[in-house]
Amino acid sequence: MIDQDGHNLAFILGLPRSGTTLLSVILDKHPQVMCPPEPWIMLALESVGKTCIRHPADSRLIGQAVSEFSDAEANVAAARAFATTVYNRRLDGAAGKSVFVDKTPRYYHILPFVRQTFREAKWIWLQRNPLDVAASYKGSWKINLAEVLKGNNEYPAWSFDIVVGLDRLCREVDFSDPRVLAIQYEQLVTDAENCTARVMRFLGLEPAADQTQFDLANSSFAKSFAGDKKITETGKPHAQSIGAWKSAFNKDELQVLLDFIGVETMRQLGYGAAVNELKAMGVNDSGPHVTAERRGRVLQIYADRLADVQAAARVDVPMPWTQRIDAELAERKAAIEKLTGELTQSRTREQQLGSDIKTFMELSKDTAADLERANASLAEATTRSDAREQEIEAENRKKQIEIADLTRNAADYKFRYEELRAKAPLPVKAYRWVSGIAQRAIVGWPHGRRRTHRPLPSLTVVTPVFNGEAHIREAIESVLSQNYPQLQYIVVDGGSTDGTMGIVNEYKDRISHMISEKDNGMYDAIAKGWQLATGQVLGYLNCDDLYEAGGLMRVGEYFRDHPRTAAVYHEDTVLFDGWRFPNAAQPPRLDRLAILKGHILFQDGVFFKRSVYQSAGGLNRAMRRAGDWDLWVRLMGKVRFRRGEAHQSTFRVVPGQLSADMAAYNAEVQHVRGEWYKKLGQGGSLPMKACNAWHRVQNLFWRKLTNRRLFFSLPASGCVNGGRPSPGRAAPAFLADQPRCPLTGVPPDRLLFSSRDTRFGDELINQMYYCSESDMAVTYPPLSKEQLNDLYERHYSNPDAKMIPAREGFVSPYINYRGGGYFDRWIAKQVLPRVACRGVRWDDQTCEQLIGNVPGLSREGGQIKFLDVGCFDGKLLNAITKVTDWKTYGLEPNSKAAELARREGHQVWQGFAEDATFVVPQDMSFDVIHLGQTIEHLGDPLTVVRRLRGLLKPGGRMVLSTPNLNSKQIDLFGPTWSHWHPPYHRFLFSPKSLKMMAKLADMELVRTRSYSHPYWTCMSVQLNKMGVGAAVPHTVNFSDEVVNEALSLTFWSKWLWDWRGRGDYLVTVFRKR
Amino acid sequence: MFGIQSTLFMTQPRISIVTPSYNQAPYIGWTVRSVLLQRYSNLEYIVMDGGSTDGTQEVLEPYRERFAHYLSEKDNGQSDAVARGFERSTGEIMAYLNSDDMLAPGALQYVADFFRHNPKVDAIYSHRCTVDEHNKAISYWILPRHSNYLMKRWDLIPQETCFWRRRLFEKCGNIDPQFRFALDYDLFLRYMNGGRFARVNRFLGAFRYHSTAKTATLLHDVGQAEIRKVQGKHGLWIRKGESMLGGVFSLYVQRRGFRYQLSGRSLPGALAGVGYDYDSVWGGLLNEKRLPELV
Repeated sequence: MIDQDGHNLAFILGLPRSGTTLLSVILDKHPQVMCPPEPWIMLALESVGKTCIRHPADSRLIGQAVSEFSDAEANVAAARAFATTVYNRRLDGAAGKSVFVDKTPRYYHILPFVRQTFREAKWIWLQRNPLDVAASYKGSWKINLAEVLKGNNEYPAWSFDIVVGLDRLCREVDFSDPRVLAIQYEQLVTDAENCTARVMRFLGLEPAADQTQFDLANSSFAKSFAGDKKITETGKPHAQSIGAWKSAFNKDELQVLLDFIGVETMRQLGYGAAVNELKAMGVNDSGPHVTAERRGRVLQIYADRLADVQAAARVDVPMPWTQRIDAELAERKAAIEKLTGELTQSRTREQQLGSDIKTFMELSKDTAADLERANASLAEATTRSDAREQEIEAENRKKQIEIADLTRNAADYKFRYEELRAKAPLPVKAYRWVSGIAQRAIVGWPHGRRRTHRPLPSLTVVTPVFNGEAHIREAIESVLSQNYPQLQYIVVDGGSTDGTMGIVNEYKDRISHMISEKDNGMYDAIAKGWQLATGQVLGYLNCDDLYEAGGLMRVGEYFRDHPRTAAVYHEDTVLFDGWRFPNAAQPPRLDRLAILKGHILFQDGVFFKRSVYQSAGGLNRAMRRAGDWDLWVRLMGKVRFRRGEAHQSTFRVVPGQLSADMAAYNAEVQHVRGEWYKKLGQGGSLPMKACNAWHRVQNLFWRKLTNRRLFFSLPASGCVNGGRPSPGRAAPAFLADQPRCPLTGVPPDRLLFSSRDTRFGDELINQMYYCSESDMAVTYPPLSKEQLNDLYERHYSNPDAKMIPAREGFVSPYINYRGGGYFDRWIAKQVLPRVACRGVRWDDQTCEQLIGNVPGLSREGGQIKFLDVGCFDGKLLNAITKVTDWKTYGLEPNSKAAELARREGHQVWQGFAEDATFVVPQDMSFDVIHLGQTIEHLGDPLTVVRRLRGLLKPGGRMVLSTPNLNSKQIDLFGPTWSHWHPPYHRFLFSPKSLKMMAKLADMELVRTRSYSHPYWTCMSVQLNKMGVGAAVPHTVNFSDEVVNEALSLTFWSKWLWDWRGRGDYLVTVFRKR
Repeated sequence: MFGIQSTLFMTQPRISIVTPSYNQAPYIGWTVRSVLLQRYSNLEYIVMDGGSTDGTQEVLEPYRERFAHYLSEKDNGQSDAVARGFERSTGEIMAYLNSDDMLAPGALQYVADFFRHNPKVDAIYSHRCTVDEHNKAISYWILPRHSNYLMKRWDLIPQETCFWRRRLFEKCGNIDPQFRFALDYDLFLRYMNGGRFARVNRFLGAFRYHSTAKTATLLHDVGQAEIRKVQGKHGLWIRKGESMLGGVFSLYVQRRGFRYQLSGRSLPGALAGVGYDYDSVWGGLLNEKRLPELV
């Protein structure tokens, strides 16, 4: 039974012609459900008091009275009671029926009233595609909704169904409400059982069998005025009318329908697919504003109708739903206005954008075309220029190769010419000799040395490097600062991964070629470099090593002056812990067998002509360590190697360098040697025997036959193999400020040795060089005047009277050195008793040596005037005034000493020797100027002598005393000779170099005498026992043993060596011409 | 000490040197220094500047107080300047040194000694050493012993090395200002007629050969004409055959210079060979700024 809340009551909602009749028939078939055709009762109950305007009792009064008498709540309660009674009556009338379903589609007009009346009643909303609904209107009722809605302002009531009804249902039925069930007509007809079952369960009942099979011929449905009569003709639901709209309407009609229904509504109801199909047919979505506007028109009319009803009822208090309709209307209107405004705005914007887009399109069309054209031409130009560039590059490369070839050929022809010239037959040479004489008779016979005017040969030096950033800079500097005029310098890098190439690149404008790529070992790199060579002479320098100053120039001059020589080798020096020593001596002659037997040439000092290199077949690139040795063997078979008499290069001893692994080196050598021996015959063959014998003879004599006086080889316990030399401050390995001989102006050519300060123990390691042209020793590194003055201030004026021994744990180089010939050494061993040495004097003999060496002075200027340069406290001046009537003057840089000398009554000027011209009054000129043990301390002795010459009268004498580089004691003590005295002694002279200096200072050398003094010999003996790592100051008192040895040595010196010019120091007299 | 100096002062004859100068700023510093650094106590140095416009006066500024006489005004050319300088001079021995030439170190002392030892000689000159604008020695003239016959006919006496006694100046007169180029030739001709000449076997100075020197610019037109004019004035007519002798003599002098240059020997006042900086003969003093203190 139906109660007050509406339990067991359900309403079928939906539009007319959406299959509600079908559903009601199906439900009615259930034994417990009663669903009669369309009761309409709720609509009638809602309109209580609203009577027809033509009611004779005045519809207005009826409405007013009813509303006054019964309020809305009373109406609802009354309607509920009425409807419940009516429904229950029907239910009672049918046996077994307990649930009543009211199917009246137009209840959509009063949905809030229905819900207000029965709170718990269930709503079943049967949805159907609105287009199919319209098609059904057309098909069943012959009403074309599309035409009705199109332009007509007069809408019949059924036309509200699809517009107002659909809208109401959509807005007012809440799907989330459990009292509401939505089913679709399409589901119902295609899957009737399931759908029916869903509805029955919703109603709280079990579905019955055969509900979907019905025969309605005599049922209440067939008799009722309402409902669909077509259904009586079918026995069950069918799906034929799904999609009927497609055939029922044309495109325009569909457009009208869609505009009224609205795409949004279609989608909301779940008919999006139909919308898509419409779109495919060309029916477009006009937008919500159009739908709102269209519906608005219908709603307007609908509202008018309602107003009519109200007007008829004269109800002043508006019914809640009419009120709502007004509000809705206003809202809709506002929405329509808003949407229309937006539409106009967006239309304008669209137009604007459209025109903009049009312009842009046109513009971009042009631009794109332009761009395309430009790109095309650019690409064309790029390809063309690339091709041209490649062509030019190829041409350039070809030209460069041609130029190199031509240069090479020209140089080769020139060199070949020189060689042929040197090999000319005797008559040709005789002719040349005679014609040369004739030529010189006209121009002038050259006196003295013959000068060669041949140009220096061009030189190619290759430096192979792999990860050698530590020393590569010095190596490059040492090559480039040689300033060789025709140098081709090639650096070949094996793909270094450290900073090597960065350093090399800094010099790239001065390096002829740089190659940086992975290579197959050092000799591969060198061979690559030599392939590029254009120089006539080739050489290579490893990246750890250095050329000695002036080395390349000497090589060039050697090849220039010896056109028949094809290869030279040199001795070199070793750089180890800051100490530089001469490396082992090289024999003056070498042949192939000597090399084969394992003699090692110093590869940095080997230079040979390129033509020979090519004819020997070049380097063997597969060799890893002994590639140089292999090359020398092959070169030796072609040409004779000559020894260049200079130290050409410096070999730096670096831990882990290639040459350290002698075992691997020897293994390679062994392999090649075996092949050569096979070729040349085994060692037992006669020629080999003869060769070996010849080498033995040579080895016996060459050392004796060559003058190696100033060659100070390290003893067997030497530093490089035996231990580390005494630590010291290393001089820069290579300075652009190279050592220079002050007389010839060229760098000295041999290294003598290195030594620390052996007098006062300063740490700097000095290197002594020897210039063979001027026969003098040069100290390196150069010191500025300030540095020297500082040294003198610190040590010379107040020396410490203590000897400083060498550091423990290190080797003091040249300790106990003993050189010289057998006889000299034997003599040195003969320590005589003191009685025998009584003739050896300890006192200062400077005065008598001076006076005795200037005989025959002219006295026509009156008193002889004597200037002592570096007079110190005037001791010598005192001695001279004692024995002669000379007028004595002094020049002394030290002010205190000068003052002391002045106190003794001498006229003394204070100043350095080179400033004598300015310090000494200009009317003073002297007969004798004395430079006692001074000149070797001076930075520029030649300038000083030249300037002092200006202070001499014509015919005046300059007396110089200085240590003697020819001293026999150098032979004996070597680097431990006390007069080396670096760094204070800058230069050491021999009689030969003093003669040269006299000439350069526009004077003549008139006398040279040499003397020895036992005190200096003591110092040498003492230092010899300690090595150059130690220091012996010149104020020390020596032990008796040392004194005895020195005395007897001085004794022997006096009788054997002094008079031959081999004494310890020289007294030389220059005369001004 | 001053006692000794005063005796020296008396024994040293005064030497007057005149330097005419006109726009030789690059060289005149060297010239002046080579005179002032002679260490000769009795020197009278007269500089006659013809109103130079190239900074000569700035170069001379530090040496002004060392000059016995210094004049800087417009003059009538080199010969006029030298002549007026000589008029002012008082020295026992006289010479003039052009503003681009230099003296050798110790030259004045040597000249004074030479005149003291050779009282009969009235004028001396030496070989010539030629330097370029960078003071680099480029060639030599090695002259034979003096011969009046040769030296009168051909103008080969190196003027920068020539010194003469005042008595010859007083006897044979001053420079003739009419000559622009051959003023020394004219003077030496007159002196050779009036006194005894000697050549010393050394170099007393250096002659600069440069593109703006008169010797370079004027020799071929003005120079030759003036030389002929001088010869005409003294009645010297070069006979047929003698002109060839002159050519040979000139070549001989140059060839001896070439031989000297190749020989490796050196004469006092220059070094062996060529190519060295003439300042090295001076021990670098010419390029210094300092001067010895005044007594």
